[in-house]
Amino acid sequence: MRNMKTIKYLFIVVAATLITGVSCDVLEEEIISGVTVDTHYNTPDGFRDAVNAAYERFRDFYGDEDGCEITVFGTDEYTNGGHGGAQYINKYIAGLNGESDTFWDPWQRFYEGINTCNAVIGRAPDADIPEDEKAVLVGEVKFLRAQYYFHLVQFWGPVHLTLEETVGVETEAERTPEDQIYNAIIQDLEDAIAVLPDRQSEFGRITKPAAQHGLALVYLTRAYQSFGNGAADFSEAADLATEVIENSGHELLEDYQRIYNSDDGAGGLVHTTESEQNNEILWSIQYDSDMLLNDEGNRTHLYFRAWYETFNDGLDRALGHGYGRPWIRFRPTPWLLENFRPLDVDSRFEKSFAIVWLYNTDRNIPEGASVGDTAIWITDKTAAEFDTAAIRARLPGVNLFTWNLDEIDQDWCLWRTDVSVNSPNINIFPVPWKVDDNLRPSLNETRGSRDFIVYRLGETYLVAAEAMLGRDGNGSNAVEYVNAIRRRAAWPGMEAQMEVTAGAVDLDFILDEWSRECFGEQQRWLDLKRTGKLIERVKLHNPDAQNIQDFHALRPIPVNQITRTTNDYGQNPGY
Amino acid sequence: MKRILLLLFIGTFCSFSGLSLFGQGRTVTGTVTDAESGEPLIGVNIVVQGTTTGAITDPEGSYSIDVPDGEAVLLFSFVGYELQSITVGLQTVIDVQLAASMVGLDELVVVGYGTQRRGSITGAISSVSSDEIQERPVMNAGQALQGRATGVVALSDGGSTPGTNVTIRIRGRRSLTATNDPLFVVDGIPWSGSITGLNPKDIRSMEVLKDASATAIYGSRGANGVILITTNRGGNMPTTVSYSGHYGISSVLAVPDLMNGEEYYRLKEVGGRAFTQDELDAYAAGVSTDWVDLVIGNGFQTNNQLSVRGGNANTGFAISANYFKEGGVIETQDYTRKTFRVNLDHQATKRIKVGTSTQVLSGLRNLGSNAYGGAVNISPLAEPYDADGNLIFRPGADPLLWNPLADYEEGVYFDEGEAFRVFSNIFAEIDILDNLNYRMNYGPSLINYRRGLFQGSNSGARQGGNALVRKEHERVFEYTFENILTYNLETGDHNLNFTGVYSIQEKDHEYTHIEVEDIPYESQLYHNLGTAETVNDMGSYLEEWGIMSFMGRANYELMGKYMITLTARWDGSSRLAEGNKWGFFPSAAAMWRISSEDFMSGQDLFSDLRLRVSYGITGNTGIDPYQTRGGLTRSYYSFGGLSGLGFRPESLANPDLRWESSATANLGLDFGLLEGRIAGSFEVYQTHTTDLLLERQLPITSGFNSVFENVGETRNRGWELGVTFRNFASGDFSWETNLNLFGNKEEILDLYGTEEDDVGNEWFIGEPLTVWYDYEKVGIWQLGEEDDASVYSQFPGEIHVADQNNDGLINQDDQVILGSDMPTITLGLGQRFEYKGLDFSFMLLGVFGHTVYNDYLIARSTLQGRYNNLNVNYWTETNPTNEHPKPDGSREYPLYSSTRGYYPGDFFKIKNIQLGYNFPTGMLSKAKIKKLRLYLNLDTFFIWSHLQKGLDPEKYGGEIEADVPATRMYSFGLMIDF
Repeated sequence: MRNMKTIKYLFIVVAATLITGVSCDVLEEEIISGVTVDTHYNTPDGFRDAVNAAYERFRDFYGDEDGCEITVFGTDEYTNGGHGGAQYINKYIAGLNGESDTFWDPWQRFYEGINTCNAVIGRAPDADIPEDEKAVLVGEVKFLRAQYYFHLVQFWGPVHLTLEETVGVETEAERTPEDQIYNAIIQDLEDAIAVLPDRQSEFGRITKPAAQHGLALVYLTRAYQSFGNGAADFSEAADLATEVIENSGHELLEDYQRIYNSDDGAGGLVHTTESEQNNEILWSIQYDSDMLLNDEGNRTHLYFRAWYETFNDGLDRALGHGYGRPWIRFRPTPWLLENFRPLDVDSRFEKSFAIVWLYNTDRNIPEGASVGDTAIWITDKTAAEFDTAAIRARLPGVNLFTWNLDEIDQDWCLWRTDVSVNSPNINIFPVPWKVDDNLRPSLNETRGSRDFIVYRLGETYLVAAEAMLGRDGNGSNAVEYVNAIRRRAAWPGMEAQMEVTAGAVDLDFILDEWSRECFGEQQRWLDLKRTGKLIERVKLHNPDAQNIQDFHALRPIPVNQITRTTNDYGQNPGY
Repeated sequence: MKRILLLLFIGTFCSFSGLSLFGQGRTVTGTVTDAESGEPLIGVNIVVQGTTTGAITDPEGSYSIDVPDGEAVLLFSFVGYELQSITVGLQTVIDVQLAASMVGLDELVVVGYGTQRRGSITGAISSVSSDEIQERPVMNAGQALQGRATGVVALSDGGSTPGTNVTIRIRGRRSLTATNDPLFVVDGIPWSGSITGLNPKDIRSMEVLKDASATAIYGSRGANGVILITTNRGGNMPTTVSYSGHYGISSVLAVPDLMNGEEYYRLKEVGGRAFTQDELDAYAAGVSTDWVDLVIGNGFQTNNQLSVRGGNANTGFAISANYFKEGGVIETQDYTRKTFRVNLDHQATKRIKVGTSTQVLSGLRNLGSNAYGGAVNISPLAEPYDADGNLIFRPGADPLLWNPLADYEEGVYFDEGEAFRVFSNIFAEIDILDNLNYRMNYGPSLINYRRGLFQGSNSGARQGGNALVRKEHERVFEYTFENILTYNLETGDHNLNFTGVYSIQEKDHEYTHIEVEDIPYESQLYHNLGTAETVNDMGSYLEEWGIMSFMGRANYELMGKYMITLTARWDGSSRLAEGNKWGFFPSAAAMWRISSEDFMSGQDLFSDLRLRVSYGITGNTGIDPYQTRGGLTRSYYSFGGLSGLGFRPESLANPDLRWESSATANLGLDFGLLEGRIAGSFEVYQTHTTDLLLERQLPITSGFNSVFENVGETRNRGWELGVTFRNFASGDFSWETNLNLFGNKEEILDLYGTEEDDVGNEWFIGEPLTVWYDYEKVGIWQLGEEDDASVYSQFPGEIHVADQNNDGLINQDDQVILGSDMPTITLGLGQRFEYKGLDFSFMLLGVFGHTVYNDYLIARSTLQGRYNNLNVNYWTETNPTNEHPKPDGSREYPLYSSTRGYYPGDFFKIKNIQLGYNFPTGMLSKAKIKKLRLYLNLDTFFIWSHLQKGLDPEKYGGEIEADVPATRMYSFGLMIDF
């Protein structure tokens, strides 16, 4: 009896234990909400996802603050405004070193992009998608990989080169000589040109003309290098650029302003899907008004903006064109503005800059003024040419400025920053229309939707001109391409005055023209570095960057890279 | 295979069956009194030896217990008294007199999967008793541990935000990137998530298991120590209704010394920062707004606990309801916790007992917005209200500085986290034989959490833009299923106890969120997301893991003097890859009760003397699921308005991941001197951790920033002294001192087998696990030092840091170790005086040997002039200080800014002072009140530290942020039993 009871209890125990024993899958791990490389990339959709991902990291450079800070200021075009923490990069002083996140961020993003590209290229043979589609996708990704490396090698010189997807832990890295990196870049771009179509059905995907322009720029850059092929490289660059100009089907727009904006129907300008997909654009980084696709968005609309709202009463921060949210990072140098003269011949100054702000609130509005009247006006004139008293009488409370260097001793001159404790002029300057983003949903929204143009046909003309100048040693062939650009930029009827002679075309003139055409487009530092003019022209034109020295032509390797590498990675000299 | 193992395991136990006799049983009654005074003792624990049948004496000291026939032995145990065992024989009434024991050797202590007599424990265990927990107005179990348990560092997560958790470290840290959190086990079931969700008023005792002998039974989760929490239960006793509650007012210790209008104007002027006309007008008018004063008020805390305990011979119950609410000094921040508990024990038949411990929690935390942060930032030259008394939303010159008071307006800002949790243990026990017991625990836990964030258009976060709304939902279900067999064999001098466990635990974690903006009307808050114009973000995930374990423990005691414990646990985890899933964690320990030896019989210095030694291995599985697999992350792109979403490689697969394992050796000495007037323990230990789970930073050139790996070794060495001094106890007056003093030294022994430091991760061999690694501040470059400064492209007025290698460059080679954030010595000192019913006590906490980083100072001393600044002594041409650099309106913060922030972390703190009165029982009994206590309590009475006044140095991780200023609380409390 007792034993029976014991057995009964034991039975309960064993049964209870066995019930739990059934769930032996306790230890099996199944990933449901995530995907792994091996399960996803080998499917057709997964392969396309990997290709899309290869584009993403350029959004962390073009339209991003770090990307702007290492390309826009510290040049002859731009110096720092009153705000922002990275002014040491403009000034080439302490703080510009490998500890700076400003260098770490793009460095990191480029290598993440490269690994994604490597995964696509390496896995392509096994990808289960139609071969012709696959070839084009691989071509796009080879272009992107070449671009990531091209950026790295220009900023940092010899850097780690890998063309294989990382599958295990890698703690070593090499500083591959620059010539080998250029060879890899050229190979990738040639492969891309061979398979890419002239147009893609989805705008923003890489096309053959974009790859040709890219390769032209690579040859042009290598041509100046000691390890480059000099005239042969210039020649390759010229041929590729003329091929794009003549045979790609892309054409210069008639109106310079339409490259960036179109009419909003109310007398203002707006960037729209149409204006962003015009026939001059070869490659633009895509941003979107759908926040789910836009991620951090294009933020350049913040950085170039003056602190307009503090330079008069009756002004509020606003969303409209020319207004926006000011971060006051980049301020034009006097040279940038002077370079557009004569303003009644070259239309590009007027088509590029906001110089007038209107009262937009009744709050504290100056007596006699009303909403819609001029609150701030920045002119290029001297007091002798511009009757300030009459204008002030006509526009009650208006705050007048001039950027004319003849007025340098006067308080109203933009270049005076010691004028008074009240609003030093460092925070007021003409603001480029081309970064405006008035489609943002609210005025403090940072995530802009404007596409960032990297390559357009106008630049291809300048690549051709610079390459021919280098190849020929004179402007005889280059002048045609320079003048094509200049004629388009002329005010109607001023085309002839815009044209220059072959003798006037030297390297400095071409750099001046690059600036007039493409200022502030995250290219200037690289243009100056490419042509070996960085130190000379920065010293000449950027009053805040006089500390620049020869070693600054290379950027510091991020300390993270050096300390995490188990072998000796090595810093660039001078840092 | 596993099934076979399991059967073998069960089979082993089965072979013990048939050894013993079964009986019908009868009832024994009696009263228990104090041997000295003859007063009845209430709450004495009575157990039939070798079983779990028990009873508790009622307020008259009476008990009633069912005992089986035959050789039954009753054990009478009570805190502070000697254990007494009485053979029942044929008696039906047994009156017992208990003798006071200073040492409490026979009190039962909760250990992993069971209980043990304190005098027989071989491991290192600190206990915190009910009185210590209930006496102070604590808001969570972690606070109750502060200063009470040796080897335990319990430091606030920082700030005085209501609902803030406490981070607990037992004997330092072992792991560099895996968790260092101890395992909490509540009534036998592992508790995941913040311990703040557990009502501390329900806690009867907490045991902190520290060495491998105590923790190896928790195997892969034991490495960071285990805290066992036992909640109140009922028993065979008259029904007692208790109420305890307190109400307190909290206020800030001090407000930061910010610049006033005049000082701020001067800062901007020196820094060359632009003024607007509004600012110039305000300065001329003498405006100086004290914004901090406007946003800071008094907070409060209230806790109300109503409980009913009781039962009869077959059923015991403890039911409680608790309402806790804390309102912050920032008026939009508060935390409300409502809990309801049912603990039930029922003897269904003579051999079957069932029961539960169940807590239901409803917690609501309003985080509000950081109005204090806004108030610290905004210009004192700005005014909060216009002439009509309306709020000015953008009061200052800087359009991004919004009026911090805007968030206090009705309906502008909500950040509500609401948790609902059921945590339960449902158990059944069968006495298969008299000395063989089977227990089954099923412990489900369900957490439903949702967060609703609403930032209205006028909030500081949106500043007139579209309202933003975010909703998050989390559902976590986990369960623990355990089968425990215990077997006792006592014959003469031999006492053998065996415990075997088979356990599984699984957890499912689901998460969903959506964030939108531009909603058509704000009154919907976060309850109509579908109407929004823009979807910013949305997502969801599922995470699952499971653990399966087999465990065995044998205790053997010889002649009451020699004790050996052997434990072994096999753990399998789903988080590790095939082939590495299973880990084995053994431990062995021995104890020698020296004071029971014959040669000690002649002396009366030692009333108790025990030597313990243990060695064992425990594990740490602190990696998230799927880490061994490698993964892709969403990438965002578009092509001319069409989706360009993709997937990008994000993490490297590492199928070789294993358990991190810690081998701990412990030597302990327990002593009782002078008839127990001095009693305590001294421990020394060493923990050697290998196969560290490291999130190792990689050179990004491979495309990956980090990978989880098993590399490296760390060591913790330390000592602990815990002593209770009963300095004086006679007549009406007594004085008792509790001392907890312990030291711990962390050290990295090796990283990658190369004996080289990993500078990229700031891990250095021979140093603690985390160090401050930065430039060393020398001072400020002064006038006359222009030439020296120019070597580094610097100028007078800027921070001068040491060029350690004198190479004319300041770069990574000049960074040095400036200290570690981990304290090396911790002191807890409690003093308690009693006179008649009156008692006075205070507790001192001291933490020493570490370095803190004063982020509070650095973040608010940017000297940029855009934000208001702490009123620091900054450099100017006429003030050649070496403290702070010259203001510079052109940069967001000074170069080498952080070098100003390192301070010695040592601090003393009088955590609390309490004055209480227990009304005499004679007076109360007329009112049918069993117990009445009133007290006044003061939390954070005094702080001594190297930091600025008003900063609380108590912060885990050593980064002093003070998002909300430190507070002090005065409270009044009441405890009453009917």
